[in-house]
Amino acid sequence: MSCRRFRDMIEAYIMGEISPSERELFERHMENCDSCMRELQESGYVIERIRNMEDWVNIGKEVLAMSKKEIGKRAVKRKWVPGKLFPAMAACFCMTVAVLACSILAFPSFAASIAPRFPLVKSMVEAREENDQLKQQVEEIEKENEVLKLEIKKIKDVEIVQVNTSDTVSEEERYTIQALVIDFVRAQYRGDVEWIRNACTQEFAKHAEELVKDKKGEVVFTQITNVAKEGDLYLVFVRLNDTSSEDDADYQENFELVKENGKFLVSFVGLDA
Amino acid sequence: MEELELLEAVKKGDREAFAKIVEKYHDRLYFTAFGITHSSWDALDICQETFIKVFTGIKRVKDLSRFGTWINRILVNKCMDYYRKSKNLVIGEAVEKGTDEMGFSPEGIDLARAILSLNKEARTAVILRYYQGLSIKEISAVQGCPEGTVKSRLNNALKELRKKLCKGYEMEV
Repeated sequence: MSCRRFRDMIEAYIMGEISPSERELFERHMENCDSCMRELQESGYVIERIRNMEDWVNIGKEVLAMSKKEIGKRAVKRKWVPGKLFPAMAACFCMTVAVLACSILAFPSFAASIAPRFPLVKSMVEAREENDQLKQQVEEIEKENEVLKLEIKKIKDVEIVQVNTSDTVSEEERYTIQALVIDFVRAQYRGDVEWIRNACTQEFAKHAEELVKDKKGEVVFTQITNVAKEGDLYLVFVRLNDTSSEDDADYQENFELVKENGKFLVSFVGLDA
Repeated sequence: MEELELLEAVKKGDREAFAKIVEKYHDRLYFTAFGITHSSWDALDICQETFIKVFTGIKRVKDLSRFGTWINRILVNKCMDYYRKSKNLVIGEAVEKGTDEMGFSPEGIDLARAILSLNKEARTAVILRYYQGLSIKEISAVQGCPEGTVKSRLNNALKELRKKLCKGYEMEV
């Protein structure tokens, strides 16, 4: 056998892993070969140092003992299954809450059907209903605004905002009626019962005295509707401010008139806030 | 109690049996991890993690007669994880600077440097073979590579270590 073959056996020899017959051959060669013997001794030295590695390392026995104790403690903790499951359970809970919250925000109707008593869902449904109502009101106001076309109109010596609610009466009749109403109000504030009586139907003339205003302020007309006609009745509302210091200084009078023998007569006067 | 009986008891959750297994293997595994990582604190962590994995995973082990190989495989895998996590660290820096109070003693520094000069696979094979005394077959199972590869790693490593540790070494023939 060559030196190379024996050198290949050095590691196994040191580790005690060669057969007795090989061992005998190996040892005989080593006795007669200095270079192989040197390699054997060097390898033996290296392996021996590694085998005794613990002798070259500074570590206190108490540190190793502590480590063993720590392993025991950690193993006990690992045994506690609920503890192990807690992160997973917490994750599931958070996920459920997140999904529910997203569903409520994204699909309130869906949330209202599955959890109507849930406080968040309840308040969201209420808010939605309130929002719908406001929306409806806004739509109604918009519709009204389309109908209500405001314009400044001069009736006799009065410049007044006219609210156009109807166009069933001719402009001539409208002007006549509006002028009559303005004069009527002025007569009320003048205390001119006679004038009032003459401007009313025979039936309504009986209330002429009741229609006189005790207030002494100057009357400012702020708004008047154009005249609407319902059957034989002509309707006109006038808004005014009598500049008195009383709370009801600003108010509205609603007039109903009839046409008798080509002349307009007041058949009813009502107050409105 | 024989080791196999102890392991069967550990399988059933017997903590006393587990403590005995820890007592038997702990120091050996610690020094193995230390020899591979050259970091005393990390070796302690790796050692502890290994035992915890043993405790939680032993129920799935069918052949307990190969427990030694299995536990070493876990340890070596943990050491390799350590290398992956410590990419930016200079392994063995504490050895070089002498800042690791629990590391190699001044008399062992040459050994530490020599082992450290090997690549991690060769270093692992050397520690398992010469410190733990595992067979080539066992190391092959632990490292998950053919026996020929283990032999070649060991041959080359031994040559390197001889060069570094036996400079000026006089044989007493």
